[in-house]
Amino acid sequence: MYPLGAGVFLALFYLVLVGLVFFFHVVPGVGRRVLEAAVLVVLFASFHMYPPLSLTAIPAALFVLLYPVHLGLIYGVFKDLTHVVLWFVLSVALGVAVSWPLPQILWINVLVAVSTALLAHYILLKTYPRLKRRREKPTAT
Amino acid sequence: MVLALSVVVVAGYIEVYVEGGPDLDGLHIYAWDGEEWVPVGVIYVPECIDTYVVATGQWASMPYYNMSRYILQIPSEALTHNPPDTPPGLERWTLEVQNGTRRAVVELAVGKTPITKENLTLTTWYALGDQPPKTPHRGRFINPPRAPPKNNAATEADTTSHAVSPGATIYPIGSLYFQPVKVSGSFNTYVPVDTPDGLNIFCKGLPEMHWVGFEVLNFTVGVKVSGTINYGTLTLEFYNINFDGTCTFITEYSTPLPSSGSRWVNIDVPLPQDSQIGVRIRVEGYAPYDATIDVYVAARYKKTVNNLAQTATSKATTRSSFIVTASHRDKIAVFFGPYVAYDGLAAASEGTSYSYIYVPPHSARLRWTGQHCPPLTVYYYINEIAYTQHSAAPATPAPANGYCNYNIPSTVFQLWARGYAISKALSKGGEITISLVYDVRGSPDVTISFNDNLEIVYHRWIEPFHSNYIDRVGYPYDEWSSELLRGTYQVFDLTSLNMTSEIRISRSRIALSLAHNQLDHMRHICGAEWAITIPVSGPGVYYGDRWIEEPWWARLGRGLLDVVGWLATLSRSSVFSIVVNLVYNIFQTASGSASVDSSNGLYIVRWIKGWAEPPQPTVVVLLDPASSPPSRRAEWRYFREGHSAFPWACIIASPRDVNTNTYLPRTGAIQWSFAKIWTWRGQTRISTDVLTIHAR
Repeated sequence: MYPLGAGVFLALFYLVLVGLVFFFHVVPGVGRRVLEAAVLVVLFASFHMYPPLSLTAIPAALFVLLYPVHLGLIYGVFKDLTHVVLWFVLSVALGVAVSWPLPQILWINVLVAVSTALLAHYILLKTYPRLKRRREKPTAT
Repeated sequence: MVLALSVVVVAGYIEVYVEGGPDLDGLHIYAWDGEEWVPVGVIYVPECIDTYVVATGQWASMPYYNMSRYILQIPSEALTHNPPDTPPGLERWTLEVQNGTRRAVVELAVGKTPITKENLTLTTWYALGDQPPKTPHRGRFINPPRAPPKNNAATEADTTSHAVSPGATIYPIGSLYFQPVKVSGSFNTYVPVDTPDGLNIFCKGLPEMHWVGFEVLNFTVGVKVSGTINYGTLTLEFYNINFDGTCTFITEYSTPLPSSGSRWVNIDVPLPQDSQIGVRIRVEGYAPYDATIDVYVAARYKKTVNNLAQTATSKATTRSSFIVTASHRDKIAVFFGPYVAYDGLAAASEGTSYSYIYVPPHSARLRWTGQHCPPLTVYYYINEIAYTQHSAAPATPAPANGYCNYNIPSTVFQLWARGYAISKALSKGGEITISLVYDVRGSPDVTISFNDNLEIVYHRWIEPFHSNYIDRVGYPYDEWSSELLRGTYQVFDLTSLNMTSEIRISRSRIALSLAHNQLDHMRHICGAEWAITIPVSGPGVYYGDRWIEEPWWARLGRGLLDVVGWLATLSRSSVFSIVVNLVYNIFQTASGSASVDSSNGLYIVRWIKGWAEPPQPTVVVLLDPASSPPSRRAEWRYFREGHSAFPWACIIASPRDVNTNTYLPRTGAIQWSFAKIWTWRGQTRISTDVLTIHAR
């Protein structure tokens, strides 16, 4: 995939991740999120002008992966870091279980990853507050 | 009767224009100048016709020759002197020369054997003129000693009747390559051989020896004199190349050089067929100013096909879907090509070849005010030389809505060896062009529509060292001597797309190459796909002769990602791995790559240009062949190129049918050596498998 195509894909994927994190909430600063996605596209397009700039794709990828989580933490979607780690672990586990028999095609992987992450997110949103309360109760007493 | 004529004297010659004369190809023509017989030069006169060039979509006036229209350069004294008896072996032809109301008669001596004067062979040089005749003298052969020879090649056939079969005798035409010589003042020098790697080591102590090979029949020698030379002589020295590295002089052939311009001559020298022949070319004379002499030689051989691995196939095509419109012209032409004329065209003895040119069916529409639609005459030219003509009947006898419509059926021709040899003798690469000329006089508006592919397919005696199109020295072509050019495919499409793909095969390697002219940054060729039935593996990519190197930043980026990449292994489909893989892919695709996929015996080789690389004019994919392929017969099914949809991606176009066969040589050195591959090899560093073995 050429950089501009990858940039567009990554920008959309970023919006999907933000939407995923805030799927059961209201996305904060929608305009700003779209702007961030647009900046990603411009950044990747600039690789064609100056190819060594493509090293910035690594921090850009980290941004795509971590910033939605960061937003989730700030806006209280995730209760704490343990919530995030549990989401990651559960997503991976579900992803492995679902994708194992499927062919390794990008779009199938994307669908599986997004759907299993969403499922894991939903499960944890329902269960993690209770787990946390249960864990915190003995500590309080 | 001889009349006094006020003649236009050009360097002691008068130029006499002959129209409708006999074909003089291969003949030597002499006139008596009062003291001796001197050669008469022949300049074929063109008819210039407005031509639609398919590849560029533009119009240009181009010359067309029918070889019965020429200017004879006759010594002016020949008009006033009656010759003695015609030399033995020559016929007497009588030419009536007319200038207005005055007439003269010139006796000419004509024959296939040239006159020799001391050590000089007086040959007739031929030229393709570039303008209509300006001379006031018109000539006519009064007693044509024979009917104008029929063009044996002007036969039509179907596309399946041209296959070379084992046991067939073929007459391949190849080229000898020389570098130009700059001369000034009095000169006497050997013409340097143009070797791809600069090595020329056939004969000890005899530099500038050009390998010719076994079983050579005759030569067509072309010279181009840029500037002027006087008293010039061209000498071909023929040697026998011995197996001990020495060379033995056989004979020489000297002929006066033309003083200027591009000309060719046919030379027959009896040479031993079972000897390896070498030739040195010497030019001498006087150049009052700086001049350059280019010498091109087309050599004609006689070979027997023992094994189909000795032959290869060249194919060229133009996807033809276009409409030509023209107004108020008497004749218009549609021009296809030029296509690369690879060495080794396998001609048949009569001058025809084991090849075909397929001109697709098309239609013409003429606005017509008359009552009845006339037939439409279409003339076919190959390499701008007349080949044949057809007359197409109108679809309806009377005009429909003021127009006459014609459906011109498809036509299949044999490629004509003569035009090919002339093309080779007039320039280094040679070319094949196809032109269709329509006689549309009387019609104010003409529309011609094509909607099918023109195709040329010809068999070649394999020519291992030089395609003269993709001509590289060093890697990856360091094994030219054993890597044989086994298949070529040229596409010369509308919008000036000109690309050529070639397959070279040796016992240990297969090279697929692509050369093209689509180098625009926004719209260029960024990928290619070959579908072949030869089992291959391990692709490597060169651009020209340069191995692809991964840029430092891509290497660094991949290294950094490798460090964190283990995380991606935690899941096959996690969000993390998708993003990491995507970025990894950006670094990986920065430089070009090739891949091989196989399915049901078909091997798909694909090259994709790196996104960080500039457009590449020449790409070579090197492959390892399977040690024992299932069949000696292999097919090249299709080829397709990728066009950049910058900056999104490289889009691979729909397949272009190639469907040519190639035959792999038998494995094993002994069998290979006795495969009798005698060709034009030798201009590169020579491997010993052919030259050191006894030929028979």
